[in-house]
Amino acid sequence: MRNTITIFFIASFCFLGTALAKDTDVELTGWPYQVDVVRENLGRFTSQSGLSATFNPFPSNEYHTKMVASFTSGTNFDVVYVRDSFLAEWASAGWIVPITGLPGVDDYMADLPQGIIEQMSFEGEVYGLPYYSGNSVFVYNQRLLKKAGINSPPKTWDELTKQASTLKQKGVVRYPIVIGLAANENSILRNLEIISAGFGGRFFNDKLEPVFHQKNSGVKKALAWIADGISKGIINRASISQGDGEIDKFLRSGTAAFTIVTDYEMKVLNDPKKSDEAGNIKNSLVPGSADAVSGTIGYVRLYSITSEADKAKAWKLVQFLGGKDATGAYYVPKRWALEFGLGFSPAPLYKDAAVRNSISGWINPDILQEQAKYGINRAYRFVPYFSDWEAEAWSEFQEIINGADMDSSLDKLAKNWNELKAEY
Amino acid sequence: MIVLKNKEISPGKLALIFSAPALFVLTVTVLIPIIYAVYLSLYRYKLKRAKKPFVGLQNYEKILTDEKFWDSLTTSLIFAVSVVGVIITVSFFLALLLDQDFPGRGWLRALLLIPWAIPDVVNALLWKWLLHPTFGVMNALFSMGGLIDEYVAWLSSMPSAMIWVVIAYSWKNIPLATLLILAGLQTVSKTLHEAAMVEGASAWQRTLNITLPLLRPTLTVVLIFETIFALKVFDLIYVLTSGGPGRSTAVLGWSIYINTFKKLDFGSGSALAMILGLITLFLAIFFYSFLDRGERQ
Repeated sequence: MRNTITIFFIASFCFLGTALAKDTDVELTGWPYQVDVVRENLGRFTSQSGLSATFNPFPSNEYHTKMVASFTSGTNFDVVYVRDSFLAEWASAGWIVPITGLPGVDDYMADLPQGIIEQMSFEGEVYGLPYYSGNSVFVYNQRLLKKAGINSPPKTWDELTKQASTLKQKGVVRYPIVIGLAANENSILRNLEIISAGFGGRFFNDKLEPVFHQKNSGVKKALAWIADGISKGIINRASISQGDGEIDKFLRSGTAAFTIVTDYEMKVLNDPKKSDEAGNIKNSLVPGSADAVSGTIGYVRLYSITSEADKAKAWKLVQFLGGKDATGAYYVPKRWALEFGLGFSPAPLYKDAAVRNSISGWINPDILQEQAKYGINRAYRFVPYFSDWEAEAWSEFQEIINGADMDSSLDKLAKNWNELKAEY
Repeated sequence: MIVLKNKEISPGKLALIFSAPALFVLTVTVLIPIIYAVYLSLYRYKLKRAKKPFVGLQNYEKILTDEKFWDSLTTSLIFAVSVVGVIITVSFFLALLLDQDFPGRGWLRALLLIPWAIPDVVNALLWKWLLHPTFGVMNALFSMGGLIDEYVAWLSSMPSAMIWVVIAYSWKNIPLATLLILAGLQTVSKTLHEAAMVEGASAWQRTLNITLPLLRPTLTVVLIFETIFALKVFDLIYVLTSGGPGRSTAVLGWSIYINTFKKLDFGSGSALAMILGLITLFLAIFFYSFLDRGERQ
């Protein structure tokens, strides 16, 4: 009997060991965008390289939390999706490693704009190749504007207020403006950064000191503009509970005329299968003010190699996904651009006739290119304590928009930043 | 004394043997995590920091001197008092109704369980769509009924955000409370009601003087359960409001989540969880002593 039990336990441990053993050459994780397409791409990678690869995504909203838990518990992947806002945290913790010096890196860097390289870097080292990248853009519904007798989109925030008031007064649309102001990573702070930039403002100076709380700052002007718009009913109050991926419903249904979205979202807005207003949604420069022509924020999502990975194998996958495949083409970035409208960075793709032809159907590439010139530097997002501060800031900004005292609330946030800076 | 394979086992030992598997599971899934959380709460345990020094009670001190904690506690208490009030009142009358004899009573009792059977997150998503500012059914219904002039962004304003969170939570939790009260009603002797009727007592007088006093133990149990559940609420807040607008629905469960999983500060997150646990324990003991005193009287 005793022997039987011993054999049973040994067999169980052997089975467990086998089950836990890594049976894939490269493991990729990310958020679950177009999972089937990612797996198709990995199939191509396997056929070209002979290396097996799997994709096991985590839910988008919980991606950061799950990944940090994975890193700290030692359950590592080889290649991971990284949002630029996580880069400093993950790089400084040593969870992801630089690609500097790996074969072919310099050639890839030569194809990328400097701004993108900087956004993928931490302390002078590059941490991956881009999955997709681009800018936030201002969009308007041309049909609704024409209905109200407006021929061109607004160039300043004041002009936007006037146009929105006209649309409301003429009964074209009840709430002309909608902006993602929900309390999460992809909404309120990002939109405040963009609107503040249009008012000539920044959150932090080059020394990473807070300036948003200073008298007449662009951030204060932006918050006041939003609060005023909501009280006048030209900005939909629902904005406060709407986030990334929810705002587009208002544009697609024609229940809003103006908003700010990331560039790739325009593909859905102008897709006849998904949007009632397909063809009517246009992009223009984010409005400015007496202090700035325009302003926007760039974004990069990149593929990085983890510290636990077999670097040579992982680099092969990163190159395939963010760079060139075995045929020498930017296969995966081009596929994302053509089929899903994701923004791209490698210079050869801008010259690619198929890509240009494809995106022209839903976004004006010339205005998009012009908008990129007004991208602001957001180095402050690359400090490890940024996510601590941001989590406090979301609700504080909502409080201000809902009528809390702006000066004392922003002073509190500035104090919080300085305390975190001292602590880290 | 029980004899097993010629060995005598006392009832106490036998009870221990039978409850050992359950005790083992509880130790692994409840006791050890609680002890670990107490341990974490005594450290500055930030995942992003290499050093995680012992700080004693500093995390607790920091929390208790932070006005945001008191705001969150107030929000939690407002939420708990509101939902417990709504749930017990509605459940009591629903149970009285379901205790009557009428055709289709069985079906109605079964239907009542549907909200309770829906997972918490699904319930939250359902209400999120019902309350959508542009496409929500609630806006359409209220507009058709002439109750509102224009569509309302319910979850973006106060106090409507809190009111709808209370309604969504109550809708989900009323069935369990109703079932418990209904079970309690079955134990109330019909002869007492019949005697009171003979004496000319009205339905309201019978409810007030017979049903309610006899239901006191059941109602106290419901009160304890619902208070504990309400103080722990998280999923509904996460899906419906993310603690907003501003911090108006940021209950303690939400603050624990933000501290632990957004700021990755496991030390202060654990301390906050311990404080919530102690508050819940205190309330449960208080209600239980109230029940005990009532029974002794």
